Amino acid sequence: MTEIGYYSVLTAFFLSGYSALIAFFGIRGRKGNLVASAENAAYAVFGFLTIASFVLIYALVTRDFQIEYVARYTSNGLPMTYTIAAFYAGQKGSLLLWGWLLSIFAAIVTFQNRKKNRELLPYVLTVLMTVTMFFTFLMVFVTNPFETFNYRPPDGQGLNPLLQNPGMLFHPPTLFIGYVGLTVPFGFAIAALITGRLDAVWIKTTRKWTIVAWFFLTAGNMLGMEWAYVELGWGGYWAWDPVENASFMPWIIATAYLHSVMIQEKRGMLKVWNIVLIIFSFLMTLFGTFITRSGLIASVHSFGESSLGWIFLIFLIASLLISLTLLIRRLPQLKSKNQLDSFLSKESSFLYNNLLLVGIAFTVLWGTLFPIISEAIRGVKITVGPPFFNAVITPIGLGLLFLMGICPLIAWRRSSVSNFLKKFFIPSTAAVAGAFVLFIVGIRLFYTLISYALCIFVLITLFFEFFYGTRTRHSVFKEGYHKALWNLVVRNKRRYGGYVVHFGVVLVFISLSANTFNLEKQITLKKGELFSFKEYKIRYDSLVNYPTAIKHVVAATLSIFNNEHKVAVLVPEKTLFKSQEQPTTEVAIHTTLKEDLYVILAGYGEDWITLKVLINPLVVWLWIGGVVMGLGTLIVMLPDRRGQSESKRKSVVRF
Amino acid sequence: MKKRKVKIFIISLVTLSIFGYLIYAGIRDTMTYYLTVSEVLAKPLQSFEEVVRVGGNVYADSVKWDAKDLRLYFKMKDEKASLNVEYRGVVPDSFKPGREVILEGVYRGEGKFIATTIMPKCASKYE
Repeated sequence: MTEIGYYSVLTAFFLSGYSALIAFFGIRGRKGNLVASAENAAYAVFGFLTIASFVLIYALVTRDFQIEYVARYTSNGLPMTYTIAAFYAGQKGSLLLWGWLLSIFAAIVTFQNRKKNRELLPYVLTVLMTVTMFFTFLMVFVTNPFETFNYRPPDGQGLNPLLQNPGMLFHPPTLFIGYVGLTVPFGFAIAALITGRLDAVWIKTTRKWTIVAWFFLTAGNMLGMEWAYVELGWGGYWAWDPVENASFMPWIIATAYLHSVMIQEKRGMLKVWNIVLIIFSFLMTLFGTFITRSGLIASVHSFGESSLGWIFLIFLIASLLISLTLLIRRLPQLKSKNQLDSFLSKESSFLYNNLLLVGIAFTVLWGTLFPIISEAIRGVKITVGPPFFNAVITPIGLGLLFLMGICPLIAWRRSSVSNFLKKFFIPSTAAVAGAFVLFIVGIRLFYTLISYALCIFVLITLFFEFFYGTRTRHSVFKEGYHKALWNLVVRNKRRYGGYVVHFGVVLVFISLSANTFNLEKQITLKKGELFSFKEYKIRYDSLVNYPTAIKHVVAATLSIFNNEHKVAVLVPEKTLFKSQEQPTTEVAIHTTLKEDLYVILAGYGEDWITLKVLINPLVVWLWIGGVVMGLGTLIVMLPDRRGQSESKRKSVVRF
Repeated sequence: MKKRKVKIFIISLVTLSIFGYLIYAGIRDTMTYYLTVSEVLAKPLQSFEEVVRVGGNVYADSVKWDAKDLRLYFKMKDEKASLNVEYRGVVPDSFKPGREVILEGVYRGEGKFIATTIMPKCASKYE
């Protein structure tokens, strides 16, 4: 069975190399049959990597412990869902998943473009297949997922208990899809650079693929945060760990691209910039893999240190050099069609937004690499942690929030100052009033006040966008308000979908800004004893101690009262998995729209328990904000009924 | 046209300077030295006004844990020297004798280190 897996990967390795080469020379020599053969090879690569993936899944499901990978990440008692998820629990499996997803995307791209973009596609294929070849190379020559023992162990080592959480089922694959998805825009960017076809076509395709990748990156990061919050048990969800930074940087660069691409579409500007963003968002995915696998940077997620990271670095540098060479060669063709007309224009607000987003990306990069840089230059190892990132990124983030509110108020090209001030008046007055109220209520932290004032500002401008749009449709087209709102959104999916995403971002900001009000206490309780914390009372009722098939559980039962009403029973646990040496803490959380009561069982004895209790305000809005961002992105991604809406629009114009 | 370019240049320059300053000030105010146990002991005490990070191994038989008050005492060592560490709080799941840990905290002299954070280099199996 393992041979089938290994030889499938090996075949995929040769076929992807073949496809990459022959697509390139096929289009160069204008030989259609060669290009067709390259396309078929790409489909075949997809087929073989699918076989390889199913072989690994089959081995996992049948618990074939003779395979080293299966023995290392699963065990007899492991539930079936996690057994399948063990597919990407380790480095080898995640490489296979990466390669497989890439081959799926390559097949989709080939199929989508079988009748269009014929000039670009062969080059796109060359890029995608080269990257696929890189991953299959790693599996064939460096770490083979199908490596076997020459004996069959009776049981495996099992999956790390931290990974046995629903988060494991969704977070890694989602993030992987996002990562891999960024390869496609990169492929189109390279193809456009090679062919010199730097017109609207590649931009359109690239934007569509980037938005898909962005959707998955957003979802993946959100799911990761949620997982960290419920599973890691330190009360937070983001620690600016290098691994988190590695997934944040491609996301923020892709965000910058999704904004700046609009300038290119509308005004033919920022062409070089857009290509650079696309290239770097892809390179960042490789870079993330490099820093986490090379052991160069200490991370709490200590990944297996291996030579793999350095191979990624070589591939990264090669990709960077090739991309930049191609870009420099095309620079003369990438002149802007237009100049910036005015500072009070949408263009300049987008420009500034890009500056800030890239500033954030650079800060994160710098903070992540700082220990290495300082050691190399000054010989001392200096680390920067969350305080650094918070100190730098908070003001830049607030700047972005401000732009998010300003941008809808400004017209393209040139906005008249008086018109702008007229629109600016209500939201800004409301924001100042809101900040004043918060100040009276007792919030005195500068950034928190600014943040909430800006949130109000953005919410009101967003509301007016929807309100005026709907009202206009209502009066012009005589549509009912619901229908007018619906049509407004579906007829202008990108604009209003984007606003929905912005609305989600505001919710996220509201939640993040409340972090400054987090409270925590540690307390030892005897049975039946009550503990008051703000308006909550926590009563320790009982402690149970029981073994299950795969673990030993110690669980404390707590009654939670809010203003004398019993609102919940929380059961924080400590568990000891039989196959593991270390205990795992299972926190218990009581969530309301206002705040989370987060309880950790820190210690226990005969008749007492020690708890760490946190009150984290407004956390749930972070998750709601994430969902809203996802929904907004889905609206943007809704398929066009272009023919229909276009003709309607024309008839309206004529009318 | 020219005036506009100058304006763009100035605005970009101002923004970049702000970034530069934020990063510079951020590092200046929040950086922590990452030292080994021997390096901590070798440094003069006066130089420890701030929080430092120390990496080393948890000495196997030295761990004392008071689960009621959540107080942890242990010795951390490298090849040459050792520190007496005191910590109060929830102990991370992966903290174990013999394991490599990174501590954040303050050195109080005479080999005594008050840790505020313990970060075990967990041998997390997710690679």
